[in-house]
Amino acid sequence: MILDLERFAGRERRYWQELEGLLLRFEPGHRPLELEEWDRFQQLYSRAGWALTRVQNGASATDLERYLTQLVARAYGELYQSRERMQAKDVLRGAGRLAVLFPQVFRKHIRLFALSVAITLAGAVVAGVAVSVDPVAVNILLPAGYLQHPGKRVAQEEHHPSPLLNPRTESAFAAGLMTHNIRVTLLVLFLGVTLGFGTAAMLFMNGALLGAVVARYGLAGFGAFAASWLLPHGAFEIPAMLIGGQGGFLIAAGLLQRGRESRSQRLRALLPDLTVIIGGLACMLVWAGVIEGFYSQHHGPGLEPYQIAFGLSELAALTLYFSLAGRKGKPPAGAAIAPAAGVEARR
Amino acid sequence: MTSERRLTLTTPEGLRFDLRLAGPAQRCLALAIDLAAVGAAISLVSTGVGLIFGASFYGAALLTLLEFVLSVGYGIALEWFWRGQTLGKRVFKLRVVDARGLPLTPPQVVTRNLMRVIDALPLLYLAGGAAAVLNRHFQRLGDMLASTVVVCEAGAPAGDFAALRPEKFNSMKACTVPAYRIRQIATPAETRLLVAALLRRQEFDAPARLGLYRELRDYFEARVRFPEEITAPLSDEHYLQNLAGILLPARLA
Repeated sequence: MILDLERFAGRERRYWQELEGLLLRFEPGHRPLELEEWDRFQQLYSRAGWALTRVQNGASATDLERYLTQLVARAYGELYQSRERMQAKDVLRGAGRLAVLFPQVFRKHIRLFALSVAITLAGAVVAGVAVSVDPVAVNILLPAGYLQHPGKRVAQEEHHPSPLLNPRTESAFAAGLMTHNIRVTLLVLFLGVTLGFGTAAMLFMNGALLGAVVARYGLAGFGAFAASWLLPHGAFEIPAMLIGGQGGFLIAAGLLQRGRESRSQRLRALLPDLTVIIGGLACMLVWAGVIEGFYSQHHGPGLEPYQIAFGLSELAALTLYFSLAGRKGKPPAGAAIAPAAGVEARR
Repeated sequence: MTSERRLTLTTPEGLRFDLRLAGPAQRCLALAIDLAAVGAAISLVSTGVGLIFGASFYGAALLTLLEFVLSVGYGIALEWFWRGQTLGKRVFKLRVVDARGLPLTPPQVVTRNLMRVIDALPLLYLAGGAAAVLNRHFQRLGDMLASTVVVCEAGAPAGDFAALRPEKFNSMKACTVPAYRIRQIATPAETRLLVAALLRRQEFDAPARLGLYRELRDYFEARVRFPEEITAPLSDEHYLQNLAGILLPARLA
C-alpha cells in the first residue's frame, strides 16, 4: 500500500516528538518518569512502532525510516530494560552487598575453584620435584630476580636491610604491586575465553614459580624465611589468583556447556557472578599489595614467627569468610550456569 | 570484508527493525580519541600530583594508582553514565548496546571494558581487532563475552528535511499519478542518493553541481515521466527539490 508520507508524517509527528521528549528523561540530570508517564510512554512506543512498520512497507523514505528506527529502538530498550539511577549511597550499598555476594558466588562455583587449586598444585609439585632432583632447573623455572642464592639473600636482608625500605618507597612499591597483580589476575580470569586453556596455563606457571621458590628455599634450610616472606601477602594474593582461575573456568564453562539456551544467553547469565568475582578480587589484591609493600619485605631474626603467625591468621580469617559469610542470605540468582561436571570432565 | 552490516531485532510485539553496526574502522577512530582523552587526563593528573608531592615516592604511588584507575575506569564510568558512550563514541555517534538492543547492564559494562586486557594482546588490539573483523556483528572478544554490540546512531534527524525543500509550492506534487508512481518505484538507495546530492549542495563547485544535477534529472526522468508543461520551466535543481518533496514527508521539519 502506498503511503501519503506528507499527511502521515504531519499527523504522527507530534507523537514522535512527545516520545522523544520522554526519552530525554532517561538521560542523566532529568527527572525520572512517573507511573502514569510510563503508560503514556508505552502507548507512544506502540504508535511509533506502528508508524515504522507502515513506513517500512508503504513508502520509500530512507531518512524517515532511519529516524523512526532510532526512536523505536531507544524506546524499546528503555521499556524492556530500564535501569535504576545510581547515587553515591548506592555505591556504598553495593560495596556492602559485594562483601556478602563474593563468598556466595565463590561457594556456588566451588568445583571450579577446586580445579584451579588442582592445576596450581600440579605446577607447584612438578617444579618442586624438578628443583629437588636437579637444582639447576631453577634457572629455567625462576626469573632472574629470584636466582640469588637463598643463604646470601637471607644474610643480606636480615643483617643489612636495604636503605630503600622505608614508608615512602614502600608506598610506591605497594601501589605498583596492587595494579600489577590486579592486571595479572584479570588476565588469568579473562583467558577463560580460550576455553579455559589460557587460564589453566597461567595457573600452572604460577604454581610452578611458587613450587620452585618454596623448594629452593626449603632445600637450602630457609623454609621459615620463605614462609615469613610469602605468607603475609600470599595468604591473599595466591587465593585471589586461584579465584581468578575459578572465574576463568566459569567463562569456559559458559562457552562449552550445551543446552537449550544459546551461548550468548549463557554468557549473559554469567556476567553478574563474574562482576562479583572481579570486585572481590580487586579488594583482596589491594590488601595483598599493602601487606607485600609494607610488611612482607621486612626481615629480621625475631620477625619470622610473627610474620608466619600473621599470614596464618589471614588464611584462617579468609577461610572463615568464604565458608560462613552470606550463609543466611539467598545466593545470587544472576548466574544460572552451574559448574557443569561435563565441562570439567571434557577438559 | 567490513562493509555495512546490520543487526535485525524483533521485539515481543512483532516489530522488526535493523540497527546499523559500527565497523572496525569507526571503532578504531573512536578508540584513538578515547586513548588520547585518557592520555590527556593522566598527563593532567601527573602534573597536579607533581605540583603537590614533587618527585617523592608518595607522589609516585598516588600516580601509579590514579593512572590505573583512569585507564581502567574511564570506559566503565563513561559507558555507564552516558549510556553506552565514551568520548570517542560520542564524536562518531556510536553507542554500545546489549546484543538484543537493550541498554547495558553494569556487569556488561564492567566485563566488556576489563576484557580489553585480552583484546589488546599481543599488542595494538590485534586480538580484539581480528575478532571484530571476523565476527559478523563486528564484536571484539569483550563484546562477545558481554553480549554487546556497537551500533552507529548517525542518521538524518527529522529536521534535516527542511534543507531539502526551500520551495513552498511544489507543482509536481499535483501530478498525482507520476507522484505516486515515483514513490512506489524509487528504491531507498535512489532516495538516499537524491537527498545526499541536495544536502551536499555547498560541497560541489558550480560546474560539478550542474553536471551532477543534470545527470540525476535525466536518471529520474527516465524512471517516471512528469508532464512536460510542468517540468520544462524548472531548473534541474528545482526539479530534484520537488522530487525530494514528493519522496520525503514535508511537515517533518
